[in-house]
Amino acid sequence: MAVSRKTMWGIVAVIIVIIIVAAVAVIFYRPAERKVTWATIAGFYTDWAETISENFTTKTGIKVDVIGIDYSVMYEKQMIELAGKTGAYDIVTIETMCLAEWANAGWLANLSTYIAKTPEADINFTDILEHYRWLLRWNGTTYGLPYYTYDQGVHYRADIFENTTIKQWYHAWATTPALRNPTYEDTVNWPIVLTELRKPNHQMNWSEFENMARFFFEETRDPVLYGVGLMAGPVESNDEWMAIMWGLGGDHFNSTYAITVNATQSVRAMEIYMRLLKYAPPGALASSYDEVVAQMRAGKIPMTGPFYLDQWPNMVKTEDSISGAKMECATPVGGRGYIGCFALGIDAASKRKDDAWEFLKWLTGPTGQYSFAKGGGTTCRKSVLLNPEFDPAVNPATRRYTAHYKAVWNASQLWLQTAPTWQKPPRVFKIPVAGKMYLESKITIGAIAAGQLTPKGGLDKLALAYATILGWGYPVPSQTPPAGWQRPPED
Amino acid sequence: MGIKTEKYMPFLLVLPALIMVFGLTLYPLFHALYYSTRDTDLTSPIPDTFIGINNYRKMLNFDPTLSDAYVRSLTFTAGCLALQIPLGLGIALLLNRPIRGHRIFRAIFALPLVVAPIAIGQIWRMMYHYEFGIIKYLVSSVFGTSPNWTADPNWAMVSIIIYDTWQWTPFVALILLAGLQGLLPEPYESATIYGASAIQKFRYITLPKMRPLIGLAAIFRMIDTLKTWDPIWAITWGGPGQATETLSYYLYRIGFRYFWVGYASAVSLVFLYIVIVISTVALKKGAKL
Repeated sequence: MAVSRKTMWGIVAVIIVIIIVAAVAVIFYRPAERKVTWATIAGFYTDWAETISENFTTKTGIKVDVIGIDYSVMYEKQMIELAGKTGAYDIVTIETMCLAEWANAGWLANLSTYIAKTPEADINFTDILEHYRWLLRWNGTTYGLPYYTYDQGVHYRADIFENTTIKQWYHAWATTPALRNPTYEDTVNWPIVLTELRKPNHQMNWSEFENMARFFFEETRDPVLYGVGLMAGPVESNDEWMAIMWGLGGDHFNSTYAITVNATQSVRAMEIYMRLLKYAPPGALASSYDEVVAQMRAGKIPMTGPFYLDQWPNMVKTEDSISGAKMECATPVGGRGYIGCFALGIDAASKRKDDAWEFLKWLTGPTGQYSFAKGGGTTCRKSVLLNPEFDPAVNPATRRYTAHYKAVWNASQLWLQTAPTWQKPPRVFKIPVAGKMYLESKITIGAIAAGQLTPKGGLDKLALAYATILGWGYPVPSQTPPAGWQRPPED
Repeated sequence: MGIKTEKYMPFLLVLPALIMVFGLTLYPLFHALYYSTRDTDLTSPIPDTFIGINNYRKMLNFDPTLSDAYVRSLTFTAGCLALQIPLGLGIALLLNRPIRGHRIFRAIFALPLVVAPIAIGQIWRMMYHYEFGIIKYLVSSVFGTSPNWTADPNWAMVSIIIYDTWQWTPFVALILLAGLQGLLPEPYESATIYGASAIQKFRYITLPKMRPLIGLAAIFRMIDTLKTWDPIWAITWGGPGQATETLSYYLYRIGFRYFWVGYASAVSLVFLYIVIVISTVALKKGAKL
């Protein structure tokens, strides 16, 4: 079909006009309303976020555009926007392990100045759990405010632990070495162990916990019941290993910043983890926290390993699925679990920082966190955690949503009480490449758990990977900081 | 149309395609080449610098993870080809028979091709689940026991290969079916007259005539499997441990999780050259068949 010259130029002219109109619209369009965008986790969190944002909009007139992103890709997506300085997300969701990296890169807005000019009643900064105030500060400046904690503890079936028959059985087993494997590590004050998760004055150690898992797995001879639920899949196994390592007194770095992930306590933590895996339901190597909750609700496990306390509202549903079941949760074994929270920060490239601060202040502030708690969230504020309204002993109606608050509070206090000064917080959080090291630990711990590497060999490899990420020498990096390496700010 | 317009019109018409090729292929390629000579880390506040061939040296000498990833990529590719080509040929032979409703069967067989690997990968992850996965249930029903598909490092790669086979065997089958339908009936009629069995016809007529198409299908699948990323991400996340961390997954990790753009560019360029070399050799071999 022949197209005349006139028609052709007509088409070209139309296309040019469309392009010009679109470009002008993009350049000059300014929305009339005040609006901020918030990148957050899709799913339950998004539903809650949208509800709570509507309340904020009603109050302030600032619309919050909630961008729900699947958790598995949330950090990549945010980092791409942050690195590109696009300002696409005014408010970003920060994981504690990423804060140093993002702040050091200059991606986050300084919140200290905003906090300083906000009335104390609105922000009540010291009400935020102390360890989060450490973790969300970089070089003397606060870059994030927490709104959701997933600090770890232990969830367990109190009905099993209180069962008289099982207790007697356990007592006999525990006090009669002939009944046990004679080569087994026997460092336990046996008679008290089974009930100790419930006793506030005894801090359970990992040997005790391991023996309990073994007892449930081997001795109850219940074909359904395994010893312990573990999230040994590719996402959270490193959190579990870290909890054991910290509980044994180990860490990623020592006080002089030498890498210690392959030191004695770290290796022992991994060995304990490997033994615990034998007592976990099959499929633990592909399990995430959802699977562990499902195992609990199916009556397959009597207790979790180091597990996120915020999962209480899901765990307590075990009482609906199993007749007679009674759920409780406790502080982490060894006194320390993984410490982490979701915090909100403001993109340094945001064009609406003031409006973003209004939302951030409101959501993480005392009023927002109170609303959050009413909606089933796990807050990072002392005044809400210890509010009698959320104490099941005072207000039994809240038990299904807030019975874990006490464990969250106690876990945070345990950190403060037990950690030496240099470990407040653990130094790994303050290293600007912590996010990368955290990801690397997921892979290596996963490989060890899967039997591809030995605990010692794998952790040696991890130490080398840490040193490589830190850039401590080439081609074979050192595990100690080289001369001239700039220590992270200790604040 | 004037002479001037006529002279420039072909270039004008080709221009959009050229812009697309340059913008989406050549520019990124040269950009990757540029970054491969720099120590770019998007999370670092320190400006990147020119480091020459250091990224390539690091890759060749000091990155054991990379060599492991290469081995896994090749294992995955070999496993997929070993299953998909024979199965694809078998299905093509079946679909080539004049059975009632063959068009419906073809449409059903082609269904896996049209679903997004990420979405269907999530479903497969559930199907492999040790607690409630249907695959575990079916295998246990037949054999009494089932592997721990995605949680066992020895079976995780097999799981991904099975998934990929499910999704892409229809592609192989459709290519080969087109070839089968183009075969002339005369050689088969002669073979029948001379008393050849069905197996002999397949061995001495069908297979030799189909060899170029089988080669072509194998090349397509090989290039694709070397690049596979999405089902691995959806089903195993490269785990357990690093059991399914192929080269493309490793690239994703260093590029989009560690943001080592310089190093990731070097690795991806070398990967690209390897794919080009393998494809060229395979295409040349295929042309001779």
